[in-house]
Amino acid sequence: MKKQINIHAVIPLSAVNGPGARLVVFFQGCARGCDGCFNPETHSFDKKDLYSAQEVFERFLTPGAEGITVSGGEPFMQPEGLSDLLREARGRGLSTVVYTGFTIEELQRDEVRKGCLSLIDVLIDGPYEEGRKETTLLARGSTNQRIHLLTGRYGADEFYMPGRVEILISKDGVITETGFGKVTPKAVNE
Amino acid sequence: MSFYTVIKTELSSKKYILCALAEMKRRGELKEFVHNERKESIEVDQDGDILSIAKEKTGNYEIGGDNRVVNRFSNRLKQFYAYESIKDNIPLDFEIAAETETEGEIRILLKG
Repeated sequence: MKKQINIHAVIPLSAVNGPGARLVVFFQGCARGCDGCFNPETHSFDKKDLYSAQEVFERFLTPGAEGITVSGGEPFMQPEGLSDLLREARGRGLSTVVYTGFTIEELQRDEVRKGCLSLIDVLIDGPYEEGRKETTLLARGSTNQRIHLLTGRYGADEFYMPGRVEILISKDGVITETGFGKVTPKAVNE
Repeated sequence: MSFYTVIKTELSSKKYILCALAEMKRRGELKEFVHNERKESIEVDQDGDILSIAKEKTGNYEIGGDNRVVNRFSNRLKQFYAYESIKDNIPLDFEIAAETETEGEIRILLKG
């Protein structure tokens, strides 16, 4: 029986969450409590949407995705599910990028979390620090966060994004916003 | 972590409804529309199907007409409404880097 992953949301294709077009999975649950966190709705550990790794790909993977990006929430607070998801991605020939509030040194001290690192192409680590907000197009929230190239699949320059924010407007007018800045248009619902 | 949020579009601003209708007319997706300022309503002629857009007690605008066309029209109007309101409210330190429409979905990339 594969582990069920508690997932906040999935974006089938994004251009600002790592190199190329990527399937982005936001895990639900984080206890780190970084001030100014982009995604406070992902902090609760209450069940949101439960999927196995296989179900994530069967349901959301679309043609054109070159890889998966795992964000959150804190992915390493569900290490078994994260491991399943990364293994499934690798099995499908997809590259893997993971964001975490832990440092890589902290992850290496835990056997299960450490095991996930061998399935990751690029890890962006470290807590979000609001006072050190990233202002370039580099795909990270704050300048203390480090981009670890764990395999040779990508170079650091590939983490400069074509935009800082991506807004998707679906056929029924639902707006999805993602990226490393917040431009939520207040007037949409005023 | 990267940012994630979802916003459901409500038709609450007449200004953006009119902008959205103008865009739909420009694209040939409706024939004509007439704004009646006194009645706070807009009449739309979509290739012979007449639809009315009127303000409800909730403050939002609702679309009336033949059910066969209302849903499809309403979704498309909301999409352009969202597009117009986003474009009009981009913070000064951001600019549009790219804009595409694929399989009915509008995608906007912003640099800032």
